Amino acid sequence: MNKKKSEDSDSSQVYTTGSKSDEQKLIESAQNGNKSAFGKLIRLHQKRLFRFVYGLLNSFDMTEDIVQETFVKAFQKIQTFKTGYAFYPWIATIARNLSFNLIQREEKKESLDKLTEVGFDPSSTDISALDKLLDDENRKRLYKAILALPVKYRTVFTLRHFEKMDYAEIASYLKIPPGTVDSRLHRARQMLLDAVKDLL
Amino acid sequence: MEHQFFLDRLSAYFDNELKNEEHVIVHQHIEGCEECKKQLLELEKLENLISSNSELSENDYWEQSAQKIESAINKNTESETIPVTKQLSSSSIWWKLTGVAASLVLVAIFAFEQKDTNDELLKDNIKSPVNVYQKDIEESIPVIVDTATDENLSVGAIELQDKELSGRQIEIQTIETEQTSPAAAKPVDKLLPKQKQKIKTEPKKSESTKVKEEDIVSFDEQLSKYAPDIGKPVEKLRSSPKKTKMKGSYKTTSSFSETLQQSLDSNISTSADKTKLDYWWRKVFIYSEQLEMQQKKNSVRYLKSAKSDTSNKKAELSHSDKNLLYKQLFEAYYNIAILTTDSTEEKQAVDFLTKYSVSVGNSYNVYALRFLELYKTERSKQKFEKE
Repeated sequence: MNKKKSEDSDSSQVYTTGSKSDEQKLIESAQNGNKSAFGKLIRLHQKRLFRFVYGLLNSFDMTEDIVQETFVKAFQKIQTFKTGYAFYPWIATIARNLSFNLIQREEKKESLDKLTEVGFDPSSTDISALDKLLDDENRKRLYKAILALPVKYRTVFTLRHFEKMDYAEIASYLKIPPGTVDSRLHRARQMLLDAVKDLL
Repeated sequence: MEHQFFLDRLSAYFDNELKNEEHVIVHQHIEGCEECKKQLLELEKLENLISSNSELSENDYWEQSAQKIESAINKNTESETIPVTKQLSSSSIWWKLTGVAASLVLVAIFAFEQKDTNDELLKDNIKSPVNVYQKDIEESIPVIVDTATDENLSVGAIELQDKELSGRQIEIQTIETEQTSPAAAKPVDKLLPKQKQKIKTEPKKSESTKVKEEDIVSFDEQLSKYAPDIGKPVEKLRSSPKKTKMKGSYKTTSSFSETLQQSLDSNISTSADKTKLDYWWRKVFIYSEQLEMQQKKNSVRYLKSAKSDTSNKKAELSHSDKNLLYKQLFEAYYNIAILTTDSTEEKQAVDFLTKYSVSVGNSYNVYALRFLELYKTERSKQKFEKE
């Protein structure tokens, strides 16, 4: 079986062993109350986290709020973080929970199932916000196409391409059957191919 | 139809997510199918496009964002880790005073609550109220400690418990006896110097059960020092129908004008009373902390509409409660401005009131304005009297 699952899986999600990485040192320092060490962790992961949350919410303002809240919460709970594990999956989980809670609180959707079924779609993508995040026209086109995907496709796509999760992980993350992940990802890719064909 | 089946599997095939047998079958089909090969190639190109373009740009935004997050963390940790008492910890006297004041505020609130709930009981036991309320007081002690929001505050309350016990007993007795003998409810400023002196020598626990006329009067003064709203005659308290319930430990039973009048009544008589000043400062700290905590909770806007989350809803103050907190804060500052002899302190208090009275858009600003006006009237009155 020549599956390349292990290659696709994000290295940050794997339990890290061996010598202490720079990140581990920063985490330990932050656990001792060093705010500047935590500042470095913020700078290390905020972009990726932003992209992930933005993919889920498709709202620049909400994403900013969630990312900030995530780091604030992470700093509050940094003592509970198990050293030896990678930092990003931990904050991504916090951000994920906050995002879903936000959606529920905003009463757009009542449950996670509904989120993934119907989704949380603002009326239109805030294109002007993309200027802050991207300077390349092609990238802007690509992001515009991604953000224009219906949420049930966009969520699966984000988790697969940005978070490098495999189907089983996505399925358990969104509480949907793996077969549904397959079909949604397939559909998302088809839609994207149509939208950015000239860029290929 | 069969071809469509394979087309639908291509995405999973590309991701190596098909089961072994299925993977082999799809692979065999692709070998002989040009359209599937083409489709697979497009998927690969898309993957390359995404992986080479999915990174967000490196620009100033991220540094600004990181700084914003850091300042949010700083704000959060400051407001969380520095409790009010710790801000004052440089002086041990301050610490003790805050403990005393906070305990008394809490005691007063509980005494008040019990008086409310036990109104009928109070009537029935008018001849022998001591036993009833002694029991109530004893029961209320652990509750007081529990209600203290600050850890240090509760420690302070425990330490001072024995010392204050006698005071508490007298406090309740006084409220009841006032009902039986209206003469006892004298204004503070009419007290004889002898009676005032008595406060310092008494009370001892064993003596507290014996209710004497002198004790009652002296307690009246003692109580008015710490909680001018509370030591009022029972009739007066009953006559005020408005009862605004706070979420938290704070309660008030008087309307705005009554509160003002009570504050005036209790404050004019003694100026520059250090203990009283401390009481009002303590109030300022407590209310400021409450407001700050509330602000923190509302900092992320979506928490406001947390209908599904009942714990958040509980923790959130209603609009009127927030107004009340501000009103009490203004009242405390007003009293500080009146009582203090320190010009800096006075300026600070007046500035606070001025700041809120001039800004528009909040319904509580009107309270600030009214307290400011009252302060000015009071000051000119005092000047006039001096002349």
